[in-house]
Amino acid sequence: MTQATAGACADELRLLEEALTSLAGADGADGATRRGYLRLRHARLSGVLAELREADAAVDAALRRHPRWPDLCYLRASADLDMHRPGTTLERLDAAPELGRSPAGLELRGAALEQLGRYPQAEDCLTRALVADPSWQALASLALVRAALGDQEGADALYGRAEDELTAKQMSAFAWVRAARGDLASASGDQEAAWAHLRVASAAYPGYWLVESRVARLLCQQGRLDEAADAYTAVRARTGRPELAQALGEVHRRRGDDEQAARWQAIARAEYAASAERAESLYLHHHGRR
Amino acid sequence: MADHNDPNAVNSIFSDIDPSAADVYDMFGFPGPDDSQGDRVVVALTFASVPETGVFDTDMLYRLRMFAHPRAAVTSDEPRDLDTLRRYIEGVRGTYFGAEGAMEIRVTVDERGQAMVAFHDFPGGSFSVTVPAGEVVAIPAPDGLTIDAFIGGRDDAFFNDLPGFFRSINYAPQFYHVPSTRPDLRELPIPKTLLELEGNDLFNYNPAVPDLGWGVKLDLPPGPYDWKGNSFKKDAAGNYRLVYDGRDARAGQNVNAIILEMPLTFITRRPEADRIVDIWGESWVRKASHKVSEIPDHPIWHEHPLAFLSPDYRDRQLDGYKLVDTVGQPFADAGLSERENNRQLGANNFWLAPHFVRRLAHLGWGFGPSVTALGLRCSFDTDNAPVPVHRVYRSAVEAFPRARTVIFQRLNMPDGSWDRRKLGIPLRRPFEIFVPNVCALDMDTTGTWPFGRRLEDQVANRFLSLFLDMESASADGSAYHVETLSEQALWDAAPITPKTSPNPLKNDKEFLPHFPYLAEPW
Repeated sequence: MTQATAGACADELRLLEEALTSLAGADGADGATRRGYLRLRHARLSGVLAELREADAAVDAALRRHPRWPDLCYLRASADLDMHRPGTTLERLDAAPELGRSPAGLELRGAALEQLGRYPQAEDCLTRALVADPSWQALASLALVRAALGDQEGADALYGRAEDELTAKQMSAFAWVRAARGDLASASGDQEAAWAHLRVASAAYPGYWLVESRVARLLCQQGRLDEAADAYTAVRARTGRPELAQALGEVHRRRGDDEQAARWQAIARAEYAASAERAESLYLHHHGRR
Repeated sequence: MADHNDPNAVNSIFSDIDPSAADVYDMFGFPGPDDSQGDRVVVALTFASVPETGVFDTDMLYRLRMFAHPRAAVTSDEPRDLDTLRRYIEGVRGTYFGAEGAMEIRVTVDERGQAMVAFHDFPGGSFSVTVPAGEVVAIPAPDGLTIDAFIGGRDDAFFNDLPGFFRSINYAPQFYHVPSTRPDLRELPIPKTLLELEGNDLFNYNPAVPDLGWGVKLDLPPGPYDWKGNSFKKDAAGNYRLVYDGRDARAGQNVNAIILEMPLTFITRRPEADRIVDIWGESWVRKASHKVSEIPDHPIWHEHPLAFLSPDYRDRQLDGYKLVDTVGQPFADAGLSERENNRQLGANNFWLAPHFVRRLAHLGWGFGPSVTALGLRCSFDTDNAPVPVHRVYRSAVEAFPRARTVIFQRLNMPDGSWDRRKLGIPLRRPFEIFVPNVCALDMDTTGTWPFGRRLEDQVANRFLSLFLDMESASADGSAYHVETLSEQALWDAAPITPKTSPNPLKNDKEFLPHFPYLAEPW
């Protein structure tokens, strides 16, 4: 298998930074939207939590300056999903009926309903979005819904259709879909298939934290604990995500290294608490459980 | 905008969409100038020069498709006998069903600038060659024939006042940042027009922002966007203002191009009978899954070039790509199909015919009163509306009576030079031109539009001439023709400023008299 580009993720992050720099002087609603989008995309691809918070704040500030710009409303609603605020996403879509009726709005609503666990409504919404525009995002969101409803085969077929919509210019999205298919295979006990998907995802878009964290999880599930620890350590160091600190603590616990396990668990707890103190809902489910 | 910035998936007018190598621009087709050894066919497919002029996107596959058949018309000097009838029927079949069995040329370019050119299903067989990009090369073909080829960067041969056209249809993304989540705010609900409308402040020329639409964009102001006026705008001297200013929006800009010149006998074994060559182009982009799993480190054609020729391989090759854009007739997609992604059908655009009727009627209600205001006879029935009307039709049945003449009238040519062999070839009519969506090159003509498309054709003005009434003669006996709007005398006499042809009358660089005909890049 040929690797698409060594360090494709790093290359794209650099291009996003250059694009952001070139937009530094752009004013107006469109310029603000593009800057917000670029920051959000950079945060999604880098996985760095602090960037996601900054992008969220930047979109918020832009929307305050340009409250009637539809694309900013969309970006705001989309960032709400990244920050696990699906209820807010729905409120924003309700407040912008034209956006809410558009294929992009329907897809976003479907994803929010899926996050809320309102699967039948999510399915209905995404099905309507697909009639208007068979986008890979709507197909992938519908796959998530089908998987949540226990239809693993249907979900994988939808992911396959999503994949077929993607071109060589969308390799990060392709890697995302393959990682999701890896999750699906792993959840149904087919670890061989899970590895196959993750290998393709890694080759398609090298350096993507999301894929690397899935590789670490699969290593852990297979009991390859030293490798899992190394993989988690690397991706946690790059992203600073507390769920990866928690996973790393779990790997160390299983390795019998209680000291490292306790250390990483404490880090995770502290970061979950800090997130909650910021009034974020991003990790409330983790925080509440601990 | 023959096909520039179409479809919307590659429409870089939108600020969030980068220029794409998948954006095919124009399909040219005309007879080669030297027919001493028999007819030769020149085809040129141009597209966005991405990543750079002369450098090709290695994820792209371009297809040039063609099919030769008899003319689906009876010339004035043909005998009225059974042979003529048989040939005519064959011509009709070729016109409407030829695409099914079309020959094709596929072109991909690798990282080293080597172009793989695969010819499929030509009468002499299928074969493939690898040629360097950026060089004129002679490709030896079966039967001892030779094909001239150039795959590389050139000056864009299209010359057009793109912002003027977009002013005429009130296409906001050329002038304003339009939210991508609001596709309803692209063509705003203001009547189409060739003359500025009183109070159409969004699109009338604004001396405070002279470059609006020429690189300068503003955020789209809040609506409402409909037009409340009831007259054309006039200056103190009583002159209308043309929404065009005749500048070439593509001046100084390049394209990447695939240019071929081949003997007609390479395309058909019956060159004496098959006088029409239907040509269209397509862009395909590699699928993500294909990029990862199917591309070996050393492309297969280096070691096994024949592998490309099997039908199985061809189909599998296309399975790894997605069709993005098609081009046959100028304006068929960008003007009549409104850039919709799902209307990229290639030649087989039959189901779009009802849409074309509705669209022509919609345009007619806008352009018709402008034509009349200039003192010209209009082919669209506006009920003598004094100003343009924004009318959208849901039904082709309802729209058709208004657009009947636009659709059926014969498009007059300025003189007889196009019928170079003086065969009495019938003039073409719009319904024959846009369906199917191919460049239908008539080898007995000069190939000037609509009998093909020559580089020097001002096709934008010719498209607008559809709305001139070419059937009824004026008092002095003269009739309008496809070049009427390019005649300076018309504008000099019209109560209008600026006194210019809507679109420039020649390219920014001289075309070459020899292959590859398109000018050197800038």
